[in-house]
Amino acid sequence: MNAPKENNKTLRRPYKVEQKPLWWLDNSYYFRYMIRESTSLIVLIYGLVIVVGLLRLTQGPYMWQGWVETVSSPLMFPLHLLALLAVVYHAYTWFKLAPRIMALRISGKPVSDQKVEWAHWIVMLGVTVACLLVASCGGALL
Amino acid sequence: MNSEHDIPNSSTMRVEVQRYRPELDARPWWQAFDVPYTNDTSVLEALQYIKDELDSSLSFRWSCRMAICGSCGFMINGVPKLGCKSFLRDYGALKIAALDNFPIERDLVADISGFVEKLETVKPYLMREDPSDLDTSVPISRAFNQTPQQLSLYKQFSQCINCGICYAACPQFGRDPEFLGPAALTLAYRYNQDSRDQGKKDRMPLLNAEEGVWGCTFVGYCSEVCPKSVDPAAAINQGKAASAIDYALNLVQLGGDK
Amino acid sequence: MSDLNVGRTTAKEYHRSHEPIVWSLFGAGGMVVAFLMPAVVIFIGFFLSLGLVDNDAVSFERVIGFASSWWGKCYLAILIIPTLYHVAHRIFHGLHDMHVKGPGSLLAILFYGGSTLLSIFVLYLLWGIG
Repeated sequence: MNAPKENNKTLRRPYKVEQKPLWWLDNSYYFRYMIRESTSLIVLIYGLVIVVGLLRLTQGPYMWQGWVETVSSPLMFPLHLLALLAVVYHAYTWFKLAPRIMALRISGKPVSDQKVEWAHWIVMLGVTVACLLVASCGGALL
Repeated sequence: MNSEHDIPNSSTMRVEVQRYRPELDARPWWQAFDVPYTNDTSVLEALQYIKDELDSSLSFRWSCRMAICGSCGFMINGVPKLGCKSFLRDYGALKIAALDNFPIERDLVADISGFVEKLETVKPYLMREDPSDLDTSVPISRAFNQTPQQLSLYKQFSQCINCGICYAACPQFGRDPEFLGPAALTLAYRYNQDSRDQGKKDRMPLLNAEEGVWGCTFVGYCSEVCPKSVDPAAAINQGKAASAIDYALNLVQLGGDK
Repeated sequence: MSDLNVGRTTAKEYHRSHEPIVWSLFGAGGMVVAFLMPAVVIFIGFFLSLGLVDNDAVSFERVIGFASSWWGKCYLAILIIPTLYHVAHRIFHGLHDMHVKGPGSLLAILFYGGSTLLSIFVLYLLWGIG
């Protein structure tokens, strides 16, 4: 920062407090921000699991079956549970922030943030149900 | 010490105030006072009581007592708030300190000169390009009408009183004091959104910078604590969208800043 | 831009940030994680793990058929690639928030470069199917 021209006679001695690396533990709002950002760690692990699945798929039926058995083993269940919590919390925070970035207007009139947030949830639930239906019994549907 | 809900029947409250006297103290320290209060005693009035009756050496900034001058921002029990808009009745005990993230000049006085400089930097005034408006030898004689719709695009963002509370709530400003910060970026966006303004191209280079909108990670606490409900986090993140469009236009040489 | 620096002892220059590139990818990834990921996690983690669906649903023939179709490839690319940039962006900024610094741009190269390499790998795998 740039103080006014240094003057030898000044008695000013502003006290500067450096930010601590653990500043986000000081306040629950900051802590929830860090939780929001940390969901990405779990999503990263899950993303890598999916990339490995794609790799196994290209390596033939035997390797693919191995991946399917690995991911559906009871040992992996905690990861799935954690991943579900992470993506739902991510969605919750994302849908809260998105309307404030979009500042949606319909014929010049602002649409309330709550309405846009709910619209996001409805689309998300619709997409989730559709994906699960296609994935579970796609053979009959397609 | 009393817990938060254990307010004693005698109507005095233990108020701890952070002191820092640059000529005497190496670092800030806490001084405790017992302050009498009633249902409508504000934190600012408690400080005035301390200065008038208990210790006249206490320094703090204040002016209007009605949440419009923006002078009496303090950390009140760790939360940045206006002293005049916070009341003792809502607390069990009080700890009052200078606003976070600014250098402490003395006691509760934060040095906000860097923040005021940032406000100037973003050119927070209407700028015109039309030659007829630039002739300063004649007063502007025409009106710049605005529809309610045009007004609504920036009205919320124009309610800022420059109290600096959002800077005390911004960890990115705490991390890097060069970050232009919530209020200045909101003000820049507010003028960019004003139909009467033609100075957007002068402000975009600031928004586009790392120290501009891109220094923000949408922590969002600035909007939570803003005493005027300005929602600076929304303004900055709408500014990100505007800056991203500017970036793309510049990339394909259709406009934008260099 | 000297007139932007009234009152400053040294002129402060502002340079255009390239953040819009990674921010756009981060935003796209955030949408994907919010809208598409829950179904993926529920399907793999719950439907499959708890045996709620027939094993034929994930038979090699069915999945390779899906991954061979153009819309299957599109779905997988959209599911994986923006997600990789989303997590890279958040972890990169999270480390900055926690005062973790690498020498120069090492961390940026590591995270954004890493997600770019993985994305190319994913595209290569998808290209090879079917």
